[in-house]
Amino acid sequence: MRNRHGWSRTCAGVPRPCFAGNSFRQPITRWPAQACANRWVVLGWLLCGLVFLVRPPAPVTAEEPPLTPEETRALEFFESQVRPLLVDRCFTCHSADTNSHGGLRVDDRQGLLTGGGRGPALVPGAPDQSLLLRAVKRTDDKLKMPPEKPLEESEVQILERWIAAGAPWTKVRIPSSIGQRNEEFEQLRKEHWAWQPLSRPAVPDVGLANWPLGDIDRFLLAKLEQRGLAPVAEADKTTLLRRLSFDLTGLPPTPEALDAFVQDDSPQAYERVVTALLDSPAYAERWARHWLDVARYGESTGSARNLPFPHAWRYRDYVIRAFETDKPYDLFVREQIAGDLLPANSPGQKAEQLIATGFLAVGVKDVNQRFKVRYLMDNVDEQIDTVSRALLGLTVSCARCHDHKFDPISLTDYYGLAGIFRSTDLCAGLRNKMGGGGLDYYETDLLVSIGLEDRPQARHESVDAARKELQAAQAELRKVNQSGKADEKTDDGRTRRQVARAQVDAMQQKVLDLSDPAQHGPIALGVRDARQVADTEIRIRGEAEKLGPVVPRGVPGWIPASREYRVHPRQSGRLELADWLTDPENPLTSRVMVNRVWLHLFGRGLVKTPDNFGTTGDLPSHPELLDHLARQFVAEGWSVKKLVRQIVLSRAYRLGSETNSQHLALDPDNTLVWRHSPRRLEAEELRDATLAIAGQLVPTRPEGSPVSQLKVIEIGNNGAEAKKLAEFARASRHRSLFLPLVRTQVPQSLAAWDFAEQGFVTGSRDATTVAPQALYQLNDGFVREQARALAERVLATADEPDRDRVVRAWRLVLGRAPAEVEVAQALEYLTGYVAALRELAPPVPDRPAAPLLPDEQPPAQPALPQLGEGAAPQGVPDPDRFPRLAWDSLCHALLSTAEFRYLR
Amino acid sequence: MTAPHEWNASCTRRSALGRASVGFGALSLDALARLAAQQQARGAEPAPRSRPAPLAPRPPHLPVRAKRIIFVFMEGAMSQMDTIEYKPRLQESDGQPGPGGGKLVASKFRFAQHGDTGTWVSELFPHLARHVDRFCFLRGLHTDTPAHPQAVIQLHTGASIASLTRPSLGSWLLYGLGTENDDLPGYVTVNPPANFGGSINYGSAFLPAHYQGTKIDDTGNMPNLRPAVDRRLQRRQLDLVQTFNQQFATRPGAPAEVEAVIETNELAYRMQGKIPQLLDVSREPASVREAYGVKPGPEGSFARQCLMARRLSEAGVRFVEICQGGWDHHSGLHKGLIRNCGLVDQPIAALLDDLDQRGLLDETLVLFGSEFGRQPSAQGDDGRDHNITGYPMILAGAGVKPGYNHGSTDEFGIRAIDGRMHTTDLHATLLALMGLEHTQLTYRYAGRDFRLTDVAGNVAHEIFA
Repeated sequence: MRNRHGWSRTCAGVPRPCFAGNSFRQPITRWPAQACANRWVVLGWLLCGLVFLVRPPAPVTAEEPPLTPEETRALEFFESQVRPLLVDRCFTCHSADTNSHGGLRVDDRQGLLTGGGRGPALVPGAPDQSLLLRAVKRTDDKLKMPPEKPLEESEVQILERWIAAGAPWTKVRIPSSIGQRNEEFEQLRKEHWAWQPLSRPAVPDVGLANWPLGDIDRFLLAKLEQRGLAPVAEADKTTLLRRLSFDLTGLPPTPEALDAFVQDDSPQAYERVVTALLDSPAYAERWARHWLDVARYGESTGSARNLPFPHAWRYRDYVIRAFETDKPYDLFVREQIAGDLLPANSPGQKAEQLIATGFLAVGVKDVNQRFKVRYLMDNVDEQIDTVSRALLGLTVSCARCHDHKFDPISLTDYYGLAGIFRSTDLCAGLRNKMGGGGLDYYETDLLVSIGLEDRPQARHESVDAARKELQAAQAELRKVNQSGKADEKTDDGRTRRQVARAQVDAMQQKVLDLSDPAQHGPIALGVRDARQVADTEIRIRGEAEKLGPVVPRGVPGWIPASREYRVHPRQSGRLELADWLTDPENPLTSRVMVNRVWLHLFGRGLVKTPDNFGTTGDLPSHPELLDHLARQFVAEGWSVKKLVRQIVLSRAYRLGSETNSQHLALDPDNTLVWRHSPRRLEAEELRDATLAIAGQLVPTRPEGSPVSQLKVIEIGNNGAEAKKLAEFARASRHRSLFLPLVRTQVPQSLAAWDFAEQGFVTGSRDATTVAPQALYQLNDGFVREQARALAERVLATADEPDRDRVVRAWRLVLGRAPAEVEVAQALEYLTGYVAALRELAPPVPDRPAAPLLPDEQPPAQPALPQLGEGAAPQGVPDPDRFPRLAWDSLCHALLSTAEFRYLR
Repeated sequence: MTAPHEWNASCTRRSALGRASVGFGALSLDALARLAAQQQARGAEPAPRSRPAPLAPRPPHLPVRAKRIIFVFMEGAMSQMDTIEYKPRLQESDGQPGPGGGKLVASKFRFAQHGDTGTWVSELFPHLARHVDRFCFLRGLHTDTPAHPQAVIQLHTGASIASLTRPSLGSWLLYGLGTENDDLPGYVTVNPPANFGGSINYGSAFLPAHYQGTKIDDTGNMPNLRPAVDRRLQRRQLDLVQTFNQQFATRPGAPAEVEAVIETNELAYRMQGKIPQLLDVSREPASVREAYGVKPGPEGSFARQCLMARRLSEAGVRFVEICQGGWDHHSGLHKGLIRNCGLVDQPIAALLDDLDQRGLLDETLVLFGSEFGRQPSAQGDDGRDHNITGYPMILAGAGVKPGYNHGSTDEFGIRAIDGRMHTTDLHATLLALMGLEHTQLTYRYAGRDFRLTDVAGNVAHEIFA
């Protein structure tokens, strides 16, 4: 019965290794074994006879002194008198398994201490300050509990006595393993490559001395020569420019750019093109999107209730600006972790730094969560998971419930970080609530005002007055819901519930109009230090309510750094976390980023698992090269652009993609980089290139996002908002990274092509080949629309020979001139298509026009598809347009070829 | 001659891919033959297939008791107290205080015994009552969260924690077993709930996109399935594309995936022809449509879904889910149940008859139920609140004991006391019936091996036929 506190919560959430077999479940019992606060950390109620006590702040230890006889008696009183009373009289409305009316649960001491919407229900030792007692004494008109049958006076006294005695509560056993030194970890910390200090590898000598253009080539060639493999020849210039152009900007080269490059025989031709592409705005857009994958960027909470993040786009734009200005990566990281704590020279810089912390806020959130403490700890976990995998390549979240099973990351490491994030307010504009509706989840206190263009706030009095009206409306709604007549229709045809709900919504809106900072100035998602900063407790088996010993907040000390980092006692510790992450001697941060950049240019990383450098990850294929680049990256000011430039200027990057059987036999995966591995274009590249080729791409950056127009109300998958967003996305001609990216409602043009999983850090995307992609390419309106635009472009010059037009189409779509046989095939196709149209068109053109072609309005479709193989056309287009239709079809075919979709 | 289909707003990355997720294991013989002929004409050796097809049938771990599953999902939590969970003590205790608080309320619907097993079923399910002797009742289910969104997601994916979306049950089945048909998706969900996780419930999460569910609406529509132009014109165009692709495939340094692109193009073309026919329930004889109660419009939605489920399952779709929502009766329980049970009773009974008559029930496992149950106590005047501590589901068909009861709840139907099965146990058992050992069905992601059942799951061997 209690298994909700068992395995299912502990291991359901995060990628963490759980091979512990089948049963964490506890036996069926009448009452749960519940948590306890620090003062009464006692164990053994159900599980064993041993009982200990720990007083806060407790050292990390399993040695707990035995209970005093007095404490034992207090607990006996709790178990015999208090708990049964709570179970019988309160659980139906306030427990984990049933309900949490008012956000309160009483089946857990932590729940009482945290309290519900009215604040803490319990102040240990102070019955007169405890809301619980006020409620059961029924002295407060607005709060009488239980609502129907009052407690007996004797029962009230039991609660009073219990609270006066400090509200003792029995606790589950703290596993003795917690905080113990782990010999295996010591060993792993010494041995595993990833967290060893950066080495200073010597650049190797190579046999083919003329081949290398720089150190990258020397490292690569040395390994190839060891294996007796010679690199293949360089790619031809058109292939190379297409590759470079997509890799650096996500867009194809124009035919003019290709001509210019092919004709430029100077030795600097390639370098000039590289410089131009790196300096183009498109570079920043392409590489920002790579980072947004890592940052699991999304414009809504996802999960069970999908609420929009109207301000997330500011973070997106921040990332674009960072790549545009080539912001040093260490600063980029520092701003995202602790931008709010960094000094700023100007309001603009301050705003920029605040927006950067959106990195910590744009993740998935389960707002439909009854218990705040779980909501908070789940969000903390999400932040730890993102920070550790994105920046360090470590799966730290695996240590939420137990020491990491494979990497030397302890529970203490995890809760050291958790303390930092628990001392941080997550400002995503949301709060948890079970079964909320309308604007219930919107929390205006949890937003980051970026301090520009502030308009005056409403007067406090008017806000207070509106809040009172809202409370009245909410009370009315409760009354209606409890009346049993909620579904009765009123005069205007709505139910009583609907009427009351509408009133609540209206009042909520009124309060927001007055108090919502988003109505008074620009807002960002982000974080800030909490009012109370504190170390946090280990949670037994990761369960938010089950408190173990307190762990000092801080960073894992076993990962190398140039100095020790101790958190500021009155700050969250994010500043020190940021400093530690970007410590020049921290070997993970630079290695992980260098590997990410390499991956985007070679199709795979030097470490194949970009988000996992732990013992279950891949070993680096070229550890010396990785360290060489990482060290250089740090030494040269953490410049991503320099790194990209250095890599694409290598000879290795310029290799052709040819294979031969000898090489394939020795190194089929091309781990040693003897050729350039082809790759499929990513979702954004496909859409952007299609638009660019068709001459439809709007290269400017749109302001904001359509999501910014949404209220913070659940977005149903089939609702009006979702539809609007889809239509917006469908009509947009901007680059794909500006499309609305509401979780679970990714625009189809991206969704079809393995778009990033927005739920978690995505260092490398899938590239599946599935039939729905073919269906999309064959039948989707967007694709066909672009094909028509392309045809228009190809046919722009009147009276041009079709042969020249075919050549233009090829150069636009595939970046090369067609072979003679291809020209012939294309021309034959055009003729054949027109003939087929003539054949299909019925002789008498007086039937109602229905489309043979895609651009006309559809007739009303029968409910079920009736179009089968060989079905007769239902309408007749104008025969004069047949040649144009043939061109549309040819252009559509070219956009559907594998050659367009793949980069060699 | 169809026009562009509007993008259905509920599409997601996974669903879009999964709309017809069929792998390139299912080969287009034409395309391959053409490719081979061309290669031979050039004196080239046919390229060896470099990777295993992700959807090729794979050997099961265990004896296969069921080949396919049809999950009949009653979203919103059907009141078991008024339908299939007869509690004499409750019927006697109307108006009494309940053991967990609240006021007990007897069902206002008459229960009677049915079949050789004498199983109690209420008057709300006259048609299903005919089938009680086939049913294997799981009466001791329990789950973790008394809220629809989390519980629906947990029922479908095994977990409901936001920070990591898990693959859905159907995806795991496909991953474990592959597909058994060439022209169809292996996993289809019809009319899934738009909210409560939406596409998460049929997504493949971190499993490759080949394994996600294909979403179809209750009229049998799938986006981009209808040819945009006359199919003869489309064939002509596709032939050109394939010619270019084949030429590209033979160029030095061409990506190995071109072959797969060629195959999936052919597959997509075939699906355009096959799937609409398969989902067109008007092709069924009138007698069959009548038996299911098929009619147009929303009232006939569930009957159509049942018939589509049979057609899909018969065609070899491994996992089909159909859905009827609207069971969340916090109020309006009485009328609501009459309406909802009226929508589903006859169609489900007809589905069972139909499967049986076609000899498919021996291979097909039907699962019927909700994300959790409801309380025996009253909520308001005419409602019942959620109950996650004890509720039933029904299995019928392949692999399970007919006329069998597994587990039970206390005398009021509040808590499971015997034969307790957590959602994870249900998943482990379903996998076992399909021939998969849940502890062996793992996928490595982010440094660990994931399972549908995470670290738990006990197979209820007692229910095996």
